[in-house]
Amino acid sequence: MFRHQSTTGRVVSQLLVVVLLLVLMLPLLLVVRESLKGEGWRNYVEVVADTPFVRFFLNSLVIAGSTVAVVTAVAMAAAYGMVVLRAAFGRTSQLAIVAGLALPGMALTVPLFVTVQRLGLFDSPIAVILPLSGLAVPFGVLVARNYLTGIPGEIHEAARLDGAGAWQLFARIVVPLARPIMAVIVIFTFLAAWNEYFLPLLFLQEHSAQVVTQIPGYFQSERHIDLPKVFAANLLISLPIVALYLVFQRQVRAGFLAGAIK
Amino acid sequence: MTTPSQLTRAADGPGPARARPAGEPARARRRHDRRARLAGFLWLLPALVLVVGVVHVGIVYNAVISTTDWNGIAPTRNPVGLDNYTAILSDDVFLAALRNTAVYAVAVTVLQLGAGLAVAVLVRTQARGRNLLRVLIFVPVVLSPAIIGTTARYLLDQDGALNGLLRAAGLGDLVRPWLADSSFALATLVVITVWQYTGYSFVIYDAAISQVDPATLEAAQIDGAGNLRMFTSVVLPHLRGAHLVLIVLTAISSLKTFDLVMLTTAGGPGTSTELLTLHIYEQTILRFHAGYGAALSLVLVAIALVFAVLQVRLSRLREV
Amino acid sequence: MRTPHAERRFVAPAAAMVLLCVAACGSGSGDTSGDASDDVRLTMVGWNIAAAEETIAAFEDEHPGVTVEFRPYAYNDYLQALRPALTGNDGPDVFQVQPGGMLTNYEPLAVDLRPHLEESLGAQWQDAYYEAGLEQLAYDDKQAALPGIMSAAGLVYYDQAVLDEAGVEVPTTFDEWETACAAVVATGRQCLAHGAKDAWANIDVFLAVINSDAPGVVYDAIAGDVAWDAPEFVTAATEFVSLFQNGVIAEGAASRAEYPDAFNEFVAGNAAFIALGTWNTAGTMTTEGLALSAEGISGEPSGPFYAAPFPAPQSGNDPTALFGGPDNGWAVSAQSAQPDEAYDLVEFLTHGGGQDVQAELANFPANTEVAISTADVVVPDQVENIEAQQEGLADLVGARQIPYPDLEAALGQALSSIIADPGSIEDALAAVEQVSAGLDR
Repeated sequence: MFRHQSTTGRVVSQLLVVVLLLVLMLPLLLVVRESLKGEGWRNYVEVVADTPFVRFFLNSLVIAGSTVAVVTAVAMAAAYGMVVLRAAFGRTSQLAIVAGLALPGMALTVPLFVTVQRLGLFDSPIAVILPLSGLAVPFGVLVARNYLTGIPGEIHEAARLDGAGAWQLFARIVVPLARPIMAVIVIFTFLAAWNEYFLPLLFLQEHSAQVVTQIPGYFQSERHIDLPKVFAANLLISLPIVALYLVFQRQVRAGFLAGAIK
Repeated sequence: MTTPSQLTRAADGPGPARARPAGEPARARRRHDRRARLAGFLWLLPALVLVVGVVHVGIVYNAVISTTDWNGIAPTRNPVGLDNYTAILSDDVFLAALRNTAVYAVAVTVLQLGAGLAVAVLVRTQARGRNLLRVLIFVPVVLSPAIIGTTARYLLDQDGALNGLLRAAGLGDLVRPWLADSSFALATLVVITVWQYTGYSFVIYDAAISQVDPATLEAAQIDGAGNLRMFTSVVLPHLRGAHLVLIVLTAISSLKTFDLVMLTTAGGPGTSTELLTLHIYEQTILRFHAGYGAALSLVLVAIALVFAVLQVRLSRLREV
Repeated sequence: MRTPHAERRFVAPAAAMVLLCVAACGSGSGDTSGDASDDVRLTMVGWNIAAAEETIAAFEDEHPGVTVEFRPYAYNDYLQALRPALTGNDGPDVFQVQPGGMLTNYEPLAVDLRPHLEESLGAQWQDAYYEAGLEQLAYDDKQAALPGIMSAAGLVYYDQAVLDEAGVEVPTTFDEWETACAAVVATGRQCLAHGAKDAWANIDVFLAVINSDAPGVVYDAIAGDVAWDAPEFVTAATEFVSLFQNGVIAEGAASRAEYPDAFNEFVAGNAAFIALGTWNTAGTMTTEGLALSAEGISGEPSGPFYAAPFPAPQSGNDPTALFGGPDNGWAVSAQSAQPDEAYDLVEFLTHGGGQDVQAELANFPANTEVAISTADVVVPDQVENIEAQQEGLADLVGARQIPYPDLEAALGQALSSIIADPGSIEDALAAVEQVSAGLDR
């Protein structure tokens, strides 16, 4: 965007970038160094070899993937309904949905437990996917709604004049234009679902159904913590999210007009 | 079919204002509109059902529990009316937690938004390393509280790396156990949080800025606008919605911060970093006052709701 | 010497437990060992048991047709997960409890074990356990749980190598301790590694102080018979906080955790002392335990390590006697559909073969007839040290846990405030007394 910078501007921005890189990198290097203490890179090997790593990884993938699919679809639809279709009860619904951000997780434990028990959902991935989706939807609706508001209304009108129905308008115009914000929703919903620790622990009693956040626990108990391996495990399970970010960042960087032109 | 050129043109400027098919009777159109708006409600229904089913049910459950003396375990619970709420008013730890939470939430929100926006701008300059910055800014976001909390304890300890750097730089007077000093612990937690989650606000600002039409920017540049003016007159006005969204998201997630504090200071020294969530945890889980804990949770919900209402109001305002 | 994991009989408990479950769950479908109709499947949950795999295998050998699935949790998760689980009907059959507030609140969800005990161990069943082990897990006349292992605090563990280098002896009073610490700090180390972030660690040290000053008075205060702002308490709090000011505890303790921060410093030889209890003996004085403890540090562990009584704050006083009781207990859920088999498991853990496994690992058995094993000590003269601890367990001055969670929290809060602001001792203790006076005992 700022292709032509004055010399001062260039120096200042360069300086800031260097400082920020240092501030970000130094603690991260300490984290990596801690993960290599003791047995070095073998720590990482043991994290994979001494735990049901692959199994839990796949379970996490199923849960996080499903949650992302549900949240992205539901949030985009809701934002579309509010902004473009100017749906009835839009304002009340918006308030109700945003209010869903409010309750702290630990106050949800018991009511969710009771619900899951009544519905007989124990041990089913759905018992985790639905609560995770419910918790992530407010974020999705909030950002998607804001993004759609930023798209000039003329685009929708133009499409409507072409005789497009609500569904066509959504699928052909709105979704392609909203790809940058959908990327944001995908990244953060995946992050939240992938990093969720407590809900799977509570609702998936069958051990083989557990997820990656249980992996670091293999290296600690009440009075013993193998810190290097705990760190190695945590870093290892964070990698997929960074990878996902790298992939979806390209959508954001391309900007929304890229969606329109495609 | 809509063509790209049509879209670009539409997005560009004022364009023809809301063309309506001429001659359509107004009443019929209104009826049609109403039906369309009711049909539109179906589009929000799934989101609504999910949120109500998961969160609102939980809020109602907590409201019911909050009027009892339940210990969280026993099959029996006695109604106590609003006693739990009146007890909150004379709970010194609650008042300290409320103050700390407010300071923490405001500081984190302001700093995290500022830093996120700055990074979103910096990655659009010609500075070297900007693409690395784009990646690195997000890495702390994905790390678990266990890693961040433990590392922070070591890094910021009396003999930790930060104090080592300060001593080496001849700033020995500044050396202190950052998280164990009751005058600095809360501020230190703010810094750690901003360090970890600036990537969050960056991604949202990044998406919002990506929405600014390059053609508009080019036009401004041709008009001879400097970078600063281009930023203030073209980019910033477009970001109002993003600010609003981020204020709500950041403030509410700051209100709900738990793990980081539990792992670094556990609310101490004294009550200097006690937050509402820690107090809820202590009352509900460690001290077996589930009824009181539910009342505290509802207070937190009420505070968060203020932000939610604010967001909805202001975002509507923006559209008009 | 680091032991490769093939030899790790004494694996990190959680790891062992989880692996066990993987094996059990994994084999569940493939293992069609005949008449499944007679099989009883027990579920057991807890946060703290060493060598769970070995223990359960031994139990299953002894009780054919019974299989046990153990689900380990981290303590904080356990507290949150246990409540809803126990009220549902597909919850665990056997669950672990901590003496104190947890027992008081969970007792209604546990079966009274007395009838089982009388039937199985006879009328004299009480002789089979340490008295404190039973007492702190009983509620009125109900034996709600049985002790897994015993443990007591009131000790400082010390690193002989560090003391030798600093040229100091084990202190017996605070004055000696301060002098010794000056010499230790001069070698570039911390003196007493302490994680003041953890309320329990502060409470242990405070109890060690007041149980030397005025043995037993704190238990009268817990019972509500003595005020928490009485002069003994002001003195004890002043002595407690002096450790943070006179160089015994390094600056910045308030953001350190006892585990792993303080403990790792100690094991690595970066600190001379740590104030812990007998639950630490296995991890510092046995070869296997020490190898496991060393996984958290880089390099070889220091040592040899020994334990001594926590020094007396006032010269002329005896140091504190040990205080403690059951480290944890095992209870049978009132919802269990198989209470008899569940009781068998609890008896096995607390009196039968499970005790042999614990003794072998140098954890202190709850069964009076099982002696702790000293075969795996790092250096021979630790044997005497461990035997002294076992004797101390039979002669405790009182408990570690305060049975009223509100009071325990208030004391923890007060100690944290005092560390942050030593001028606030009287206010802080008055706040504890206010909570204590308001308790419904």
